[in-house]
Amino acid sequence: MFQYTLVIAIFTLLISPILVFVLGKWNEHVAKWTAFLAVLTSAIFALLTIGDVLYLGAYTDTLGGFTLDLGAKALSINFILVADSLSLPIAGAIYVLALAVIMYSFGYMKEQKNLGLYYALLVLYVAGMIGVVFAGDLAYFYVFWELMLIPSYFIIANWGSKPNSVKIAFKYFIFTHVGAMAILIGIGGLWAFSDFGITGGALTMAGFALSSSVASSTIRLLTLLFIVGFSVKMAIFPLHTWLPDTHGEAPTPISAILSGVMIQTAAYAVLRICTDIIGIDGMGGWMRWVLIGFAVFTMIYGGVMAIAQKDTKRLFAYSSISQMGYIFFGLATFTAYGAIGSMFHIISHSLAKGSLFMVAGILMTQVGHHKGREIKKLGGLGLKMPITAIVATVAALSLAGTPPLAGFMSEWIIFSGGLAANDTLGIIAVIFAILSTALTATYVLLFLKDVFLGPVKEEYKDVKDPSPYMWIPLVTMAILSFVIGIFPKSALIFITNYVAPLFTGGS
Amino acid sequence: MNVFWILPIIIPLAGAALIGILGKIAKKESASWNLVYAVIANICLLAVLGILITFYTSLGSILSTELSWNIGPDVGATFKMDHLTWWLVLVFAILGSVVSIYSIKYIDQDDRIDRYYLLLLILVAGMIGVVMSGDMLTLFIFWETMSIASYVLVAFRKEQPEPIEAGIKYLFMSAFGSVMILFGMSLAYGITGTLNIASVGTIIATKFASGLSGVHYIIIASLIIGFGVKAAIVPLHTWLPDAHPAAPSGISAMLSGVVIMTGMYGMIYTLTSFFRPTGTNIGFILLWIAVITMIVGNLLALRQNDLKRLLAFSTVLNVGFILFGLSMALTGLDQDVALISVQGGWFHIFTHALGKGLAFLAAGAIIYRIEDRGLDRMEGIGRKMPWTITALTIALLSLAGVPPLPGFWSKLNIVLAAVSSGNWQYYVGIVLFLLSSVISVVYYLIVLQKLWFSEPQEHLKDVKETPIEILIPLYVLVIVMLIVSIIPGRFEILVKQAAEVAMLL
Repeated sequence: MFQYTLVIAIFTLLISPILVFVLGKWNEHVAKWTAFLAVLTSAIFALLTIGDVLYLGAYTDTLGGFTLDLGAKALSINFILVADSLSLPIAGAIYVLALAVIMYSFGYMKEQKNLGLYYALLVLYVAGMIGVVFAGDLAYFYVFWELMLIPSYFIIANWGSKPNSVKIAFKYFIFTHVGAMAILIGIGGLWAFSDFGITGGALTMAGFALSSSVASSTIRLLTLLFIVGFSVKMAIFPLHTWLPDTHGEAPTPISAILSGVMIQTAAYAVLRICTDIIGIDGMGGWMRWVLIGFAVFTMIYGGVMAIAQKDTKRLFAYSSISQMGYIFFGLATFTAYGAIGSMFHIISHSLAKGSLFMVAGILMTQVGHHKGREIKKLGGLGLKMPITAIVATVAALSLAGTPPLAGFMSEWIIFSGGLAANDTLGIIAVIFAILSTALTATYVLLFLKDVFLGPVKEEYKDVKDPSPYMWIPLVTMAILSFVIGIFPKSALIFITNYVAPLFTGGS
Repeated sequence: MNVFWILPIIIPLAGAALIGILGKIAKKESASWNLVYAVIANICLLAVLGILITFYTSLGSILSTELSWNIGPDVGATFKMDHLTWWLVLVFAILGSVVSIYSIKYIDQDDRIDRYYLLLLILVAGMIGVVMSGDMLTLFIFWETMSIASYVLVAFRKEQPEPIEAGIKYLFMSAFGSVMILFGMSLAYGITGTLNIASVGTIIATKFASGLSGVHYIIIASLIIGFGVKAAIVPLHTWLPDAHPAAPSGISAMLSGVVIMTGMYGMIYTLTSFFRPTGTNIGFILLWIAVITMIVGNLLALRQNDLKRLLAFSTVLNVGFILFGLSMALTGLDQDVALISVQGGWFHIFTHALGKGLAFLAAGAIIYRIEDRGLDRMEGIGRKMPWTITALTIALLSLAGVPPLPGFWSKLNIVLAAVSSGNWQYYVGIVLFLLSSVISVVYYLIVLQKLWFSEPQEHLKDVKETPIEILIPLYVLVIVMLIVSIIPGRFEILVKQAAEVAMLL
């Protein structure tokens, strides 16, 4: 119907940081609203594709490309952006959280310096994530993948909690970069073993075909490279160690983005690349069970560690590890239900975890930068800050999988995926997964009890709800969580369209 | 013989002579005279650049011309201007012209500036001569021209002990290398009876069709060692971390960016020309030398506190990367795959010259202000000179291989080639290659976070932004890098033609 709407959406995000930065030198209020409007404009343009996605299945924008002459072969790199039934809902989740976080930053970051640069980098960071999701070409996928890293590194290092932020950002950069190297070899391998007759040396995702003469061990090795690379970002045990530090020390709005959507772009990429492009040859057989084993272990490990935390942000960080375990479990079952559930869980988790991190941030601004993080020192705040308490309860219950919130639907579908494999190991895995849901309920309820319930402490009698900039995004997300929980079809209709055809041939 | 073809050598030499004469005429040093020298040097190098572009646009098809003056059978001078030569001269000319602008302000406190520009032009002429020579004698003469100019430039600030010490170390090691080159070349002349590099290969292929034997391996070893000293492959790299930091920063950029690459060129060009027609597998030895070079360069760079020394060790690492890519030319692997790899190697020479050149120039800009090379003394300087540190950041991110900066594209070529090679040694090699790349990111980040995120110390309180005369050349290089980032495809075509020459296709 339209043309170049996605191109406009991406380039708005790529170019506006310059404007935001320059305006920031002059007036920081103008800069922050420019950043917000840039993301909003981009979101509106991306949303324009919804008609095509619903009725035609996908919307594609191609903006030229170029060919690298590599010896007798060629590597064609095309700037293709695709909105389809999978990428659109995930991008929607990213846009919602990004807008929420920018507005939340108005209040949270107002004490900080150099805010023009902060908002510029934040918009660039969002550009990276949106680019990863919409990229229709593996080369540009990789470019955007690295674009996610650079601005977030600078934000965490410069605005994270002192004095550790620089070290933590360093760890984050190195871990992520190692993962990216594995992905780079994987992409190289896909190119090297592709069927040049069909692809013509292009890395376009749609219609990508591996050469039929490739040994299945090679395909499995490629899958493994991608899974390892993405697992770093997804923080699957034992590649998770960067996450609690990073999410704990990053400025809270960035923690919300990191936990809420960034780490989940890796889950999206697993479905897109390992399940869709490489297909059944990569993840079948014993490998599936190994991956499920890691996923289940990650869930339980994250849950147990979360219970042991005394710091709100670290609690939510470990909780994210546990939740990524669910998402990875759904993908690793390699069934339609599992994949649908995982993608749905990305959306519900982004709403819930984004809210919870922002609640942690509100506690930090309203109670005290250090005191507000220590769960045991808080208490009885529910009556003092009712809006925050209600939002926190909604998000926490959604995370714990309470109906009718969004988290319940997604976890339920993931578990169906585990059972759909229809064998003993699958059932055992699901039993462990349900056990870890109990862990989730434990740590979120303990958090609610320790922070909001109980007698009001004397020292907190002046605490109140924050400025509207900080609670409006939270309330919006809580409402969305209800809406999606009650009408899961609003998201599922898209995801199912994409996932179902993947599994009709195999499995 | 058309003299037009060797203008790229003659122009810088003529410029050097002119500067020498003007230096005699000028009774005393003054800023205006210094500007005159710099402008002459810059015009010469830009003229070379212009001539190159003329060659490519109007004479592109005959860019393989070989020209010779013979004063007797097999004695004379042979020059060539093929795509490989063209590509490298392009790199030399771009970096050389940037450095000549940069030096205007950077060395304004020094005396003997006429000699600085004279030597810079001779250095560039020597390098261009090395890559233009088609026979061993000419190559050796220009090799020594280039080397002698670089010894003096390293020790240019002769009042201080460090440059003298570094210069002497460099002189000894490099002279040893030259002897080894001469030895290998004379053996090659002995067994073939010709000085022409291309003919040596064909004669070896016909005379020793059964395969290589003892004397060939001695030639190979002496060429690898001889050129390896200049190319700074481990364990012959020890002069580099002394010489590169000791030189004035503009010269450090030239040395790290391009001078050591002539060593790489010499090694690969002679070895492929001599032995590729016969068929050889010494590429695998070079591969492992490359891997060791990467690892050693990385480990030594990790703990450096001296910014220029750190960059010098990072050059050792990048020499490993380049050798990794080029080594595939000397293996029996599939020719198409090897071509990709060799292409990546030559491309990385270009992207590394841009990245490392910019990094050294930016480091020089910091040193110009604070007169200290210690990273701990520079902490927090990003707040004081943001433009300079932004340029340094772009350079280091490019060296780290962050897309879409130039360093990414050249590394991508090498990765794609190694993954396609189907050879386990290259599979293992590429994993080590990428791990080295990650380790290099570690120390690049350490530099960046010290410069950006620390609080400025007391002694940096009055530091101002770099003078505009120094910022302009920095941002010229940044613009060139952005051009390569946006249209890597154009450059890949050029470098593919260069790789085809190196592969004797």
